[in-house]
Amino acid sequence: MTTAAAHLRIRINALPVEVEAGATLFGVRAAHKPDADVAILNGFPLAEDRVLADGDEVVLIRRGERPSADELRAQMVSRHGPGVHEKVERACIGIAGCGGLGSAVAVALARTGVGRLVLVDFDVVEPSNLNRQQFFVDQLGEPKVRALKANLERINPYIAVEAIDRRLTLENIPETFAACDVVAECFDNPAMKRDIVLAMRRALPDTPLVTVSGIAGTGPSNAIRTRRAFRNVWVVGDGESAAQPGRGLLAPRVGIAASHQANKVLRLILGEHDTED
Amino acid sequence: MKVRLNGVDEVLDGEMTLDELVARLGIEPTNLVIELNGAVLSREEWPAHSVHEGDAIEMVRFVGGG
Repeated sequence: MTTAAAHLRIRINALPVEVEAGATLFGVRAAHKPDADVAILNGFPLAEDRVLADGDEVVLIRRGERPSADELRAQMVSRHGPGVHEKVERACIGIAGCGGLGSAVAVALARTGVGRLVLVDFDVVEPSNLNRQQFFVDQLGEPKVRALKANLERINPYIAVEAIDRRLTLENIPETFAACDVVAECFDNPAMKRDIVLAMRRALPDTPLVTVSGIAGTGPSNAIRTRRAFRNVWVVGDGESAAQPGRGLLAPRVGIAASHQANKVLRLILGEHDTED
Repeated sequence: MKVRLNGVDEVLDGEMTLDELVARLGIEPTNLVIELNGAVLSREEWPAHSVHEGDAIEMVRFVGGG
């Protein structure tokens, strides 16, 4: 008669694995990922071996290696908690304009694991953009949507990013965002901010739109808020601070507004449509 | 005549069109969007829509920066 050996239930790179009692960190590394350069046990990188306990979280990394889609997904699920990732990875979000707001909203949503992003802009990366936009010096002169897509792929290579190099108009906004669950208005130009509200409400009235107005300068952070403006339209900002000579657009306040926007988009993905903020 | 304007009860001195209302309130009409009883209306549409007792009016003026 044999007795079943006691097993430990641990996670390796967020995926559940059973190992025999007495297993060690380096033993698990040798069995599961012998080429790993780094072994992390419960958040601490270790240079010395340890005996593992039930419930331990082991992360094994080979520097420069891209994790598999399953591994990266499991890590994100464990970070985001139950019920979030399943909805987020099925969502398609439109980003209208990829400047200070749009590039930061896209980065936040890519990190959150939004399954599909539709990026639209007609502009190229200019030196003056680097004060607040999520681009790099080596991307100067590139179309913004192509540069942003490349940056998002470095954050999460497994999300689908559609880069559309197009000037949006009242007429082409509906067809551009027809497949999106939520759209973020990230324009600089106030006439376009107005037009996307008109276009979306006329042609896609059931698609929530998160807009921005009043984010320039160095005014108080807490003056920037999110509120419902119209049916299915929210507006982020202080409502007053226009970009103008003497009041420029700076990374901190634009970033605050972009994070408001990304969080509102996330709340809408999670089904919170009937909230004022 | 009582209306609800941006979520606040307001009293107006009689019926008027939306463009008249904007002028009466002294609001800069450029890049202003108005929702009247749930319908979003552009500036060209304002003269054809009047405000009546009990109407709900929301106004957002968009300023530049992104």
